[in-house]
Amino acid sequence: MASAASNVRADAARRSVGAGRVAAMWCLGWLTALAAGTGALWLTQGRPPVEVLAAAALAGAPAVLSLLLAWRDSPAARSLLLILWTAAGAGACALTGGLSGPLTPWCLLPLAFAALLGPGLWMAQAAALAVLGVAVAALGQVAGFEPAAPAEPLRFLLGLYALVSLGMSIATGLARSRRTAPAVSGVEVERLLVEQPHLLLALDEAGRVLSAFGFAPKGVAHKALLSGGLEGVVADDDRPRLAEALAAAMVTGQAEAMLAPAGQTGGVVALSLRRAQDGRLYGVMRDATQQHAHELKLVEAKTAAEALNSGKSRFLANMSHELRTPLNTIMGFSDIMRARLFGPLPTKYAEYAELIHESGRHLLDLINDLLDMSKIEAERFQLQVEMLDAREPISAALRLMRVQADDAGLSLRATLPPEPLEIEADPRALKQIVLNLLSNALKFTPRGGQVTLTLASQADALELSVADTGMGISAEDLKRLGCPYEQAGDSMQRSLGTGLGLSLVRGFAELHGGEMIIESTLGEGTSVLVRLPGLVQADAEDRPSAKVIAFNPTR
Amino acid sequence: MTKTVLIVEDNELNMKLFHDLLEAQGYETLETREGLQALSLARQHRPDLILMDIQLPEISGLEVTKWLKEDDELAKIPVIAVTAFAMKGDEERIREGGCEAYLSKPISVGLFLSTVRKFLD
Repeated sequence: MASAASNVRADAARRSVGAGRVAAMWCLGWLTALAAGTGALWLTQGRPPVEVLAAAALAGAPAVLSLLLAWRDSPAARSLLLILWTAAGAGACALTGGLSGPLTPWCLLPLAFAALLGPGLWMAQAAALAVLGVAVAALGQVAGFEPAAPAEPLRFLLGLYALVSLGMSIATGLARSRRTAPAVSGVEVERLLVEQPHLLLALDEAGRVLSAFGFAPKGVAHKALLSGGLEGVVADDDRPRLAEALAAAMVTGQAEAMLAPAGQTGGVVALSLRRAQDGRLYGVMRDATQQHAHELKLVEAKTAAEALNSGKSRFLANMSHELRTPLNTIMGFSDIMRARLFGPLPTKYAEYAELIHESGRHLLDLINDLLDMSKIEAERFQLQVEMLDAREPISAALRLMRVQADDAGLSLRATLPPEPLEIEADPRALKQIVLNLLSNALKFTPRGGQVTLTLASQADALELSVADTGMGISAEDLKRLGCPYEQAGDSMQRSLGTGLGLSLVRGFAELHGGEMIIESTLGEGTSVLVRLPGLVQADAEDRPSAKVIAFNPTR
Repeated sequence: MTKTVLIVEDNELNMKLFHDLLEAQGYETLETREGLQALSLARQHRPDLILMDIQLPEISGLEVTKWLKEDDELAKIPVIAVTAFAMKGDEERIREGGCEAYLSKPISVGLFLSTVRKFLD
């Protein structure tokens, strides 16, 4: 509907421009006539009195200004020009003896100009202005402004000239404007309906075609349409859908449907229906074969991408299982050596066994991260939620990381509240969150730095923050962090992890309905805040039993 | 009397690891890589404990355990499942399958030995 309206408007604008050109031509004609009339008078009667020359100049002024219509046309400009024509006509009349003078007919000049612009509104406006002009001239006369009329025979010649010029200008104006008559005639509308590229339909309540205009899409036969209705041009299988769309349009006022045409295998037409005030349905049918094919391709691509992604997640899960088998040997034998199960071991070898075992442990952590992430991505991760004191898993994680902090020459400080923080959460996930955050902080903070863990309650949420005085993260990298497998910094820093740590923290936090917020300044440090809802106030009595919450990745 | 442990494990090095660990503790071992052979070995030798890898190439260790537990004479032999699956819920599934204990790979030597001892001493 909107585009139709704008087309109509564009058409009106085009016509106005035409009218502007015609008006300009007419004005040139008027100016020529004025000059010729004045010249003829001068030649035959000698130099005319100043009042007559002034009247001629006055009558020419609006014509000069009207030329501008050819460039800038607008209703406001037209109205202004009509007023100028009125003033000029009435002025010329007043200068040459008033209403009883020879130029009185010129009071009707605005009508001549309006005739050019088309019948109707402009004529009415011009008539009103002309009456006003006459009244002003009359009032002027009453008030004592009454220059003498020119003497005979000039008076007669002027009067004749005024009548002839006005008559001719009105006649040419009317003739001109008829030639540029409105474009939206019945014939034009019909041509528009027939020539536009879609099929326009009017249907009765039963879906029979009352009229159809335009081009039928491939596979839709005009004859079948008019004799058998829409049903006659739609493939058998799609008839129920057509009936559905018709019913929906009758009920809700509009409907859209993609249908297969009866006469074109593989073709698709789009039908839009709208119920009008008169109870009929009006519709547009167009060929949508390409559009449909395009949509199918998009759906296919999406399915393929999803399959690929879930395949990747499955691969990761399988791989992490496969990796455990050789890791069992590495860690098992080195553990036997550490335990000196078969007798003493030279110090160096004992140290190596220790290192092998430690590396195995590190590898296992990475594999476990990979497995957790793939489970979260494959939507298979299930939280084992229970009521617990959040301080417990967090303290456990702190104990594990303290050794690492000492080894790295870092100070690890923790502030936990003295009273229990009862929360509904998965203890393993909570521990994983803390382990990942601390291990990241320790990894990326240089010797001598400080890592601070703070646990606090904020309304009904638990707030866990881990801040470090490490290398920090650039704003650019910050955006990517927390997306699986994304890591900040250069390759040297990247070699320290899998890039899963923060993704896991975010994944676990979101599984709990919480969030993770990272703040960082390059070179100064990073602070990660994890907020988990589900904190139970100290006085709460009912303790819900353990429950399982499935992960929903669509967020 | 020396206790005997039947090890069902398809990976050669893991087999050696378990064998060496058990041997160091003075236990006898019987070894097989196949689930079906595990069943006949169990019938033949009546071991005191079975160490069962769950991911076997042809038949699942859980399936073999089920057969063992359905056999009245073998049902009383304790089975320790060893698996590289480390998912939550796996342990339950394995215990429901009739295994008396569960160890995940990679094993910790200390935990492995204490678990074995629990059934043999």
